[in-house]
Amino acid sequence: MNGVGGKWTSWKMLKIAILFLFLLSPALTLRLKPNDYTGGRSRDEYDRMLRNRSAAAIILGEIRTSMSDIMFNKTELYLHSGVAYRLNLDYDALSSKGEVRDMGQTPANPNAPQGHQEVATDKTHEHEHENEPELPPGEENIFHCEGADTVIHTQAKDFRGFIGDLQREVKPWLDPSKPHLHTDGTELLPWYRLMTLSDPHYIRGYMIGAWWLKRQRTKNQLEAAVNFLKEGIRNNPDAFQLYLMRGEIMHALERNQEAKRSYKNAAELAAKQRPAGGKTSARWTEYNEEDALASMRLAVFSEREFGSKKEAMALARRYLAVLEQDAILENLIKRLEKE
Amino acid sequence: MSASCGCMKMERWRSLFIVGHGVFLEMLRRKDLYVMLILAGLFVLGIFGMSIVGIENPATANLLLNLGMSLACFLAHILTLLTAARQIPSEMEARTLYPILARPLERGDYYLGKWVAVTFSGCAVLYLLLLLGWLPAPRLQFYDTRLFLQIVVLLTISIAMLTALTLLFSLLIPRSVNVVFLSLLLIFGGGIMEFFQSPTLHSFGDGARKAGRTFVSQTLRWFTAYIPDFSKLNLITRYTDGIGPLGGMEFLALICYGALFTVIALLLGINLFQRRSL
Repeated sequence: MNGVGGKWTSWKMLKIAILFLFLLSPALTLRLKPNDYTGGRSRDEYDRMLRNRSAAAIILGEIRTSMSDIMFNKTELYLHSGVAYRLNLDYDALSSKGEVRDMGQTPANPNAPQGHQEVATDKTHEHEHENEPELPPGEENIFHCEGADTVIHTQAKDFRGFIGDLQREVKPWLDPSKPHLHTDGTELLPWYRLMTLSDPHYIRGYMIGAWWLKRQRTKNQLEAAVNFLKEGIRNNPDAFQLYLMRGEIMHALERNQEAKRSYKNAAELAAKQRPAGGKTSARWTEYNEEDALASMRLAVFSEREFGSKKEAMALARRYLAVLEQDAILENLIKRLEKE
Repeated sequence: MSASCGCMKMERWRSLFIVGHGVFLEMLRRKDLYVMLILAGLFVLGIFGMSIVGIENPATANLLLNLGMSLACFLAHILTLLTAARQIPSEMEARTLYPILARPLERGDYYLGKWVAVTFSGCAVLYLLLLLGWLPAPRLQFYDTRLFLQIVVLLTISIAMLTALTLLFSLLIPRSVNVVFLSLLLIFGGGIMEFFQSPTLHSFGDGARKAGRTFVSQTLRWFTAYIPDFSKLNLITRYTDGIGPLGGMEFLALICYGALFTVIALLLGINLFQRRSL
């Protein structure tokens, strides 16, 4: 009898212990984040570009590795008012230089003014689409991309006859030979918000989202961009591009001391991460290199303008040693020496 | 006395075996398994088709591997959910439960037998589909084998957890509601939980407002941790991202996480089933 009673009591005790463990479990389980890691092929811009341009991606439609990948593709549809273009926009160029161009179609014009070089010499620090006229929010910008092909073919190229005609009628479609439309980016903002909520390590999402917010040009939107970037930096403390973008927005808000600090943070991180000689690779793209250059130059320029010239000189020398050669910094050092 | 006791034990095991056997037969009879196998077969055919056309680069191969494994994981979970959701309600509706319980079989044992059988069949389907999703997909980049083994273990626990939860909810809510609710938890649970648990939610505002909001959000954060998060047990994207395996402690903690939810759901379910009037 005692044995049965003892067994029952120990079973009851075990149940209570399990319940107690369960009640306390959030202390441990909230720290369990096995999928919270930095890097990874699904987030890599170069891998993403290869995937999105593959035949498999066209067959799969919107299916991708992660929600942020799916939403990233959505932004392109939204930007083109629902018309699906085969080529993806070069989002690196968009977030880095405010330049809209199609990937794999037209090589970057080496003579075209570089966004950040302009910034370094121009005190307005504005990055805008080079060829797009500025329109108020809500209105569509018209922008022609030469040779951009639509996912749904033109009648001449489509072997499906009536089915193809029907698809062109019922789906958003534009003749690729005609100028295509870019919306003003307002519709894209929720996607960037969701994208970064779904993957807080998606740096490009923070960059481009902040860029679109900045483009709205109102104080509230600029403040929203600062908050957005603050969150991005908290989640990705090593992403120097986010500090650079924050510096630009702070400058637009005329919070120059904060802008100066952001540029300096960006430059310090970029100097650490830059491979020797700035050699570009799949992991360190030309945009990374441009952003690194811009970070260092802007850190020096803003120090000279809003800090001390002595410190600006020290920074310029240090960054020049990292970059090995840079005409802009060399000129600045000469000017500072004269002063 | 001891002979009769042994006989009773034998009879109990026999009854448990009958419960399990019934689950297998039912799964084969309902044809859900074949639908899943056809879908997996279509994926395999697609992969072979892509291999003939040519997979352009390792990034595309990686996407296909991720999709194959994710599809296997999703289909196995859905099949387990559908199978578990109809076990007890169907037996009660068809009144086949009574002859089983007339045997020397306690209600708790019956419930446990159902859980073991559904978990076992769910895992068998998971391994089969995982093999179909993993084998034909080209692997052109480095993938960690230790992480793959961790995935198999954690997904097994995930299936066990899902079965326990589905059986528990099948006693509380109608079958279709149960299926929809747990499907939503399975698919979107991770994202929703991450949103509520992310520091973003309580990072805005300042001063007292922020402090008050932080207290509310911390409480909310604590309570959302009582909702099972299946995405914690799914490391497929980590695997295809080329990240290394989990550390020993983290892996063990994840096993405990799944096991704790499973045990709690089982205990509640058994308790509820024993008290329920049939």
